[in-house]
Amino acid sequence: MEQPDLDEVEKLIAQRTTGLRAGVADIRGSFRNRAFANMNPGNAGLPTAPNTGSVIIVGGALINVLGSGIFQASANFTVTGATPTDTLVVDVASQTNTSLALSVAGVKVGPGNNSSLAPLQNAGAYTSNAGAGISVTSSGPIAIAQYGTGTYVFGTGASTATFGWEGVIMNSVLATAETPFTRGNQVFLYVSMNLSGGTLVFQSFSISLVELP
Amino acid sequence: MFQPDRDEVEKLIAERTSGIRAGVANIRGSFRNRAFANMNPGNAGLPTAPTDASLIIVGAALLNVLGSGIFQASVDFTLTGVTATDTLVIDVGTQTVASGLTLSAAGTKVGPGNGAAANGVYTSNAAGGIVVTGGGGALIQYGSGTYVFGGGATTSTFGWSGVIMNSVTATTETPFTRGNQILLTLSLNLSANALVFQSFGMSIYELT
Repeated sequence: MEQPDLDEVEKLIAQRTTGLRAGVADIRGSFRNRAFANMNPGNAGLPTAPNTGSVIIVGGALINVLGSGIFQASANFTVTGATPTDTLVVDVASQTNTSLALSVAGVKVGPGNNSSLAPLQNAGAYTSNAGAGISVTSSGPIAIAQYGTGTYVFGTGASTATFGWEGVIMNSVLATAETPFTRGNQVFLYVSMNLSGGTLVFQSFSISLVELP
Repeated sequence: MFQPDRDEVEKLIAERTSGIRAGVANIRGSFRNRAFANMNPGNAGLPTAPTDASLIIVGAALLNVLGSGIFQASVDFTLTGVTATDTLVIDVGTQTVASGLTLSAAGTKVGPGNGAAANGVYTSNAAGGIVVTGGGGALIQYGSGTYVFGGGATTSTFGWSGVIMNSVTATTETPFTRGNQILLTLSLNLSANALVFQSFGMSIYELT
């Protein structure tokens, strides 16, 4: 009767659990890797509506790429104060680089999963506290517009605009093969707006970014 | 002292890891099983708006059912060109069949999909929309009813996300059959024919 010694038993265990370890490692990268926030009328931290005639960032979610590099994302808001013929352009976009920094106009309003590796410790959801919006410094390649409305024109009697979007995003909107964000990078998903009128007020705002396995 | 032989050690390892293997197997089925696309103003491949007054498919996502048979799904779009009193009916539906589901040539692949080469997201390049062959019958997952545009409103936005199964009436989980194909569709019925898609997004992924 063959009686394996401890070394042989250890080897057997390692061999028989290799597939399990690989499977768990695939899942572990994106495990609980998410940033999100939900805000209602009256909540502190609702975005400041832009007051310029250019596209500015009113809120976003910053996260590290730890697993698949493919994310479930959502953005929702309600604004009031629009009058007929006011126009609104809404873009949901992403930027990615090894390290991204937001200007002081970005106030953290929701949690984000952080990597133990500096400088990847600023994950979370952010909103703008200034009319000029949030600027992204040390930004990466040109921003990718993940989803845009085109120019929205308010109709007669329409004083409220609602926007709701959810989707799965990657580092391309043109590829027909999965094109992940680079593992180890940061990704910033954000809502940017270009308003023709300067009297809008955010009633609600939410954003989420969750890395899929 | 008990000294197990190699066969006994193998048995012990199998026993101690059986629960873990079952758990991983449950997750593995749906692991990275997804199809999605996001399109913006000016992007090639935006759906062609329908020109007739019937319900036609303007976009779709094709996958195989590999795990739980329960899916997270989303559909979003923006249209311009509507005028007052124009009407719009929007249906998000599914079709499922064991095999052989095909899309007409009007379906252009615009986004990735896991598994079979045909899997992915498609948009219509023809006013008559995408025709599905062998789809097994449609189930409306979410419908808008008839939406009537107001005065001066030239833009229509639609955003929906939800968790879907092979029923909209059951109160217990009714999964799509593992091994089947599943097609998520967006269908529109427009009263006016001058509309233009500004953006389009669709996603479906299998939950664990």
